Amino acid sequence: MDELDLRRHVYRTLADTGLAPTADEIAELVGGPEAAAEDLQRLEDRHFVVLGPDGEISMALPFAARPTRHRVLNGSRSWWANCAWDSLAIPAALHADAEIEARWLDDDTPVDLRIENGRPAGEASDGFIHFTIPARHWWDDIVET
Amino acid sequence: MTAPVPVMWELTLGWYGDRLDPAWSPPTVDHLQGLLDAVGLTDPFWRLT
Repeated sequence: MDELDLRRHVYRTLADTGLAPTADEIAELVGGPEAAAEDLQRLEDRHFVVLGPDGEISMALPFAARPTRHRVLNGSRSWWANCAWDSLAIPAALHADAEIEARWLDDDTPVDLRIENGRPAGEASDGFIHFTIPARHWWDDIVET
Repeated sequence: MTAPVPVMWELTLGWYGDRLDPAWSPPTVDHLQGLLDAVGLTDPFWRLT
């Protein structure tokens, strides 16, 4: 399984289940834990995934593999997003409408935003997304970004 | 820096719309910069390099 094959498996698993495959599950595919750790590191080096301190996948943009403040829902399926932009990017990647669950940072009230008929809808659809880190530094610390 | 949600949605369709495509390959920086430019995000803040 080459890097792009493994990347496809990670993304398909996230899209289908909302969860990333674990390092143990990847080990079964690639011939053991050492091979899995090496392959996952290669995926991170190419910015295909971000690994947590435990060596597990924590992000495969725009998907988050762990609970965050941003959740995307479509019927009975749901996904965690890393940030406000990624909460738009998940429906875009899935080519699906979705409800976006998030709360405003300033007063912790729910954000009214969804993708409906392929377009943003809801009270926040004419709002703004705030970026604090210039684009050329996004990958300096992608977790902070 | 802020960007309007409709602008980010247009950007996102190009940036992430093919992310689950089995034939996906990593985009070049020039391609991504072109996507930003195309939706009007041309301030130096949005320069990728």
